[in-house]
Amino acid sequence: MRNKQHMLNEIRAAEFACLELRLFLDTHPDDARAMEDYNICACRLRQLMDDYSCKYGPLLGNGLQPAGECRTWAKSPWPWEM
Amino acid sequence: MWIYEKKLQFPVRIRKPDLRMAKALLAQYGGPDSELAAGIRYLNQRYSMPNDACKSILTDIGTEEPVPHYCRGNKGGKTGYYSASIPNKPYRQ
Repeated sequence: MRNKQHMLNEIRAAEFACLELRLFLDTHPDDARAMEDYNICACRLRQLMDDYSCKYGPLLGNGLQPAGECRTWAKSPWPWEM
Repeated sequence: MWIYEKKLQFPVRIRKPDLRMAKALLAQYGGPDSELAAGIRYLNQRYSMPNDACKSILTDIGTEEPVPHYCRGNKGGKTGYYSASIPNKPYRQ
């Protein structure tokens, strides 16, 4: 369980970095360094989310991640129930 | 246009539901100056913006505004307890 939370926290951190860089790039679209950082964070986020969903089931229900084996979307716990 | 993830942006666990604090936060939750109302305003304002940067940033922050809404409303946060759909037992660490 600790590992699951740890993985989620890593995802949160990467996602937060992506969001903030995204906002910066809205107003600084030509900033090459920010764009590079964004791409690095985006790559990392994707890797982290893939690792997590392979192990604990999907975080996205819109078809971007496979549905997993035994749990269905509706039956897996909601974030505030974990 | 929007999708959701089955995780919270920031982990919060309810240890002790607090109905009084939840009541105090009600206006912030759904009132005229709430994050929810602000988010909708941003998403409407973005259409009349003169340039790409403004359109883009208003779309992005308009999307982000409801985030605390879900954190507070669905989970109650550490201090608030609002939604009737929350099981009526405190969460344990």
